[in-house]
Amino acid sequence: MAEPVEFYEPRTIAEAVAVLASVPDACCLAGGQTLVAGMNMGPLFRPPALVSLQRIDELKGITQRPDGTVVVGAMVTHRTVAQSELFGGGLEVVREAAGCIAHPAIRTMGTIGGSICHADPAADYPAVLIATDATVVVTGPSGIREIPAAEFFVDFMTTSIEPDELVTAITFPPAPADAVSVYEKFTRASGDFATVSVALALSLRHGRCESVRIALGSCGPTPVRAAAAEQRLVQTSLDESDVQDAGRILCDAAAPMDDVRGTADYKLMLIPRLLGRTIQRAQERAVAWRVE
Amino acid sequence: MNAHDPIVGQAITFEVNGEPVSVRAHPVTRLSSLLRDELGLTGTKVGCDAGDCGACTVLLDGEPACACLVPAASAEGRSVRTVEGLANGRLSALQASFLEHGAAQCGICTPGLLVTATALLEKNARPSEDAVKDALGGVLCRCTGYRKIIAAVMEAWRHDGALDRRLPESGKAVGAAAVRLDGVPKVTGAEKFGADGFPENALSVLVVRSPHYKARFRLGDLDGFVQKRPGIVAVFTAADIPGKNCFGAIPSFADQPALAENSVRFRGEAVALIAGERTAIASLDLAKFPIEWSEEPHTLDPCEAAKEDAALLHDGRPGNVLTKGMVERGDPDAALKGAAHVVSGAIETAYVEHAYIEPEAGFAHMDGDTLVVSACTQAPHMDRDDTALVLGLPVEKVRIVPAATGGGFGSKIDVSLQPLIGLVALKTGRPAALAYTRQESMMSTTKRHPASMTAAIGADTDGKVLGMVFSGDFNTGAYASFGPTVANRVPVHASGPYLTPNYRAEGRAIHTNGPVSGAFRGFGVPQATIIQETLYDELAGKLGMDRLAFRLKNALTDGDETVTGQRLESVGILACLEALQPHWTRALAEAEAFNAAHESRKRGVGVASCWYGCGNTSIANPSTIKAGISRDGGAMLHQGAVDIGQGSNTVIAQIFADALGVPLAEIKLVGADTAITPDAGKTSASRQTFISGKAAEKAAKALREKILRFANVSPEAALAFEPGVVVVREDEAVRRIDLASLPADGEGYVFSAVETYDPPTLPLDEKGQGKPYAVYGWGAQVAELEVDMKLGTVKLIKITAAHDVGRAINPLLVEGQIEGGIAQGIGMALMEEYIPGRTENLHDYLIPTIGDVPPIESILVEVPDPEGPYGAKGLGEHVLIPTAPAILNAIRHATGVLVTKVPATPTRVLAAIREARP
Repeated sequence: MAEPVEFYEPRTIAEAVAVLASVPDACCLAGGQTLVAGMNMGPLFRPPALVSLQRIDELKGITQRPDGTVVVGAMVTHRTVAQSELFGGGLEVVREAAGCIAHPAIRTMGTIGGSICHADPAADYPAVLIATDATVVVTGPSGIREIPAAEFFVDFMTTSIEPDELVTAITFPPAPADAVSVYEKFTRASGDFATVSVALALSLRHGRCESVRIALGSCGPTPVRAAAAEQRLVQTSLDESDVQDAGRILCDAAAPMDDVRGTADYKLMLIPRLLGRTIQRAQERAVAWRVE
Repeated sequence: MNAHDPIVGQAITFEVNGEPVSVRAHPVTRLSSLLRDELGLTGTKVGCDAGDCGACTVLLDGEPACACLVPAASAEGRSVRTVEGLANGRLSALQASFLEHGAAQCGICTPGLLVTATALLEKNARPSEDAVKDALGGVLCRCTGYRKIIAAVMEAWRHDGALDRRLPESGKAVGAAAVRLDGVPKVTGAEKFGADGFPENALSVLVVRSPHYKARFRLGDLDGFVQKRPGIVAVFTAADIPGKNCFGAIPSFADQPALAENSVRFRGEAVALIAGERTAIASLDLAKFPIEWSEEPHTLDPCEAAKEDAALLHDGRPGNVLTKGMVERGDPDAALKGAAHVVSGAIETAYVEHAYIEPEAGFAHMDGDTLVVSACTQAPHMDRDDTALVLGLPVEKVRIVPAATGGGFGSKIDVSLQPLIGLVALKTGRPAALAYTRQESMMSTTKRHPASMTAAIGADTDGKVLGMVFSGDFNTGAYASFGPTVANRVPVHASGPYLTPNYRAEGRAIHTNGPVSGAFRGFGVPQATIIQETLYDELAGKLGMDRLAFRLKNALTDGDETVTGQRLESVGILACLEALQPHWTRALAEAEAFNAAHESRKRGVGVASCWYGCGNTSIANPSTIKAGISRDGGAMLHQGAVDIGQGSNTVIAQIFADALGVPLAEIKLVGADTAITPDAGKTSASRQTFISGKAAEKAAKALREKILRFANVSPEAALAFEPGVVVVREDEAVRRIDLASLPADGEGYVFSAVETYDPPTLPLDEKGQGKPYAVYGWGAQVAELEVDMKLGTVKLIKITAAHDVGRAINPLLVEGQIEGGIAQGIGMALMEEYIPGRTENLHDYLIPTIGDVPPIESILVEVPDPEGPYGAKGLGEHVLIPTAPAILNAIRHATGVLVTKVPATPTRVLAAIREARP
């Protein structure tokens, strides 16, 4: 007979860290939208101990610092992010991605912390965190660590946090005032995981690209970013040939796999086409923003 | 409490539908289980336990959440609203709107849809279509095609909850769009599906299944396994089966063991049953089950399996060929040789999963020495016979009481869990309950046959079809199921509803170690129609003819002979195609205008037809209906044709009411239940309206005649029921028959009648010539869509469907069948591909969501059939058949390329475009 799952429900971050440090193989339970689905598959898929984070109020808010940095608690739900007015301009991509995670019932319960810790490359947040240059704030027995998103996602469903550490927040640095951002998600049907997704943050001045960050989802074990592709776009007017070149560079950096959502070849074909679409939407957004 | 101490079991306190509740449970017990198992609120359904189907959606503090993904601890202190909390003594406006729009068919997804839509409507009383689609995007429905759901939500504001059942007056039941008679429990959550009525003391049953496609196995110390585990009561294996360990939908081909003996032939095959207390089974670790596997080489590919040196799955089936079917007429080779234009091609299709939202579920118990099985099913009498055979019981000692069935589409014809739970109940004497997991349902039950087909069709210079040859191999998987039916039905139908004087069609069902292929809406005809209809487009192109005009020119008409030499009457295909003409002309003009203005997106229009013979092919296929007048004045209709959502409870009652000459409201439904309803056959092959409907018509007429003869009045007399009295009126004369004063039979009936109807068919000879069906239904559909030429994606714009149903007994239910069949056709055309071992869930295997079904315009054509009741023809299978070929033809119209492997995923569409324009 499988042992019942041990269950802990700490009220503070410190308590949670203490439990994680003292109970071997304990696993954090955030919104549960992936973890509980796994546990429902049978005792084999159940961790020996769960540390529920739902009673920890410190993990639940979205705040903005005076410098414009937006701090999102790990237990903030996708619905809350999708409805938050703190994500505009260069951070609109965060809100947009949150609003297309799975479907409404999942967005009620699912959390940003849970999603990024699962580190599924087909999920929506990982690429967004890379494109927005976000930082993951982690607390462990030895204190607080701030991990740049690029160092957080290390491999397929693998992050750089230690078993006794807890993700407490994600910080999104302020984007330039004229920045725009877009999340483009290609799916087989609404609510599906991405076949390929593109997260993009862009600054334009008089139609020329001042700065850009691009990250791809579902194109390898971790989100894909190619500095050379971004450099190819900076100080251009984002003409078709610029975008095509950047798309080619991104394709070279990507390593998609054949799966039920499409063949690797198809995903490679999608990358430049979705990039073009994403940039076009960003340009439209920039125009609309200026008009306002 | 110290945060360092684990919480083991605690009282979870929350609010359900406004009432505080407190339940002692482990904190990770899921909310769906708390609601269903602890609080008895079974209106919240479990379809996947993974957040993919939305059937378990409840409102958590007013927002939708999947109850299967909410741990009990996360519900603590919150408010939960379930479907049971929507009505509050009367139907909510939304519930009434659902019924009036026909938005609930089987009803299994209805609670999840209702609570989700309630949350939407409380914020936005008059939502747009897009708002409805966004809100309901996570709740899957497999029956309705979603269009009536969208309408019901958008128009809920018009209702005050007072339900208008639209019950027709006497003599006007046939043709009335009455609200389905069995509808109310579907919207209140009261309906009891397979998993909703488990007795408190039932043993839970867990099925040990093969993880391998082909393997031998050896069982270890089963007694020791049981003894070491408190709460586990017994393990049963093939050795425990008292009867013949072999079942199959077609008795002469039966070959599937209920529990495998020493070896397995497919992944998911049942090898053992573990019975125990519910909590013990729920926490059982199967990794310790004493079984040793030795895997053997297998094949999933029919080409490999059909090779001479391939290992045989079954003795006596050389080449792994289960069966062959053939129809030949005239001289097709000479006709093609002499034809001015000949086209040929090849098409492949995939395994398609039925994906009903209710996984197989039910319970069995002993009533004295009778085994009673209450489970979801499409075929109670077949279940009874197979279960009795496996368990070594006489058939009269097995009683099947069908639970409400949450979708079937063919797969719930075959037995699944019935003999398994029956065995546990028989051996232990305790009730035995089992609900398949989603993965278990997908792994172990039947699929649509993958087909590999070639064909050639020739026409003369005037555009008259001269001949056709067709050859199709159908991957029938590890066991027979309905493989023979597919191999036989396809050659009869592969010509399409077109005059084809010279013809040869061969179908083979070939065994592999894949999932068992069986019955699925259309029995192989949807696959065959893809190649025939796509070749018709090609032929029209060669002839320079309009594609619809080409079909009109070749459509069968009254007096024509089919490819089996059957001379037909009441052929409705021409009327269907003509009804589509204005839509076709408009759609072509719109596509042309759009394409002149756009480069990266192209629109296309496609058309395809169907015909489909109702009922079994050339073999007996009777239905029996019983009815009686009880002493209290009730007109009791023993209706054994299982209603799996399609509407037989309502349609057969409508036919019965008019034939008896009483208002529909007077009819009381009894059954289905093998102990009290005679055998009305299986719910399959679009046979219930036609065959059971005809039996109901005959039973009603016989009953009426008995009453009239007793009253000694003429056949024109009118009947009416009052408590305890039948009132017979003829002109001015009124006669009151006091039922209480008359003798009643054993069932309490003063008057009763039992009638059987078996459609007149003739056997097919060695060339497939004969009269395989007594009645055919006809239809044609136009698909309009847009292809993104850079991404290969297909966006459907509209589907227009014209179907000849002979007589629409209930037009609302007819539309429901059309829309639901089209949605399944869309899935088959564009997204559904079951890959064993890889898509055993509803997030890798996608079915159409509410966002994937475009507006559908249904045109009901009524060319009465002389054989069908009130002229009615079957419909359910027909409606799926034209959709996929119409879509593929529209993709080709838009892009210039035909996708030859179905489903036409973006990957395949884009690959075809790139191949054509490198």
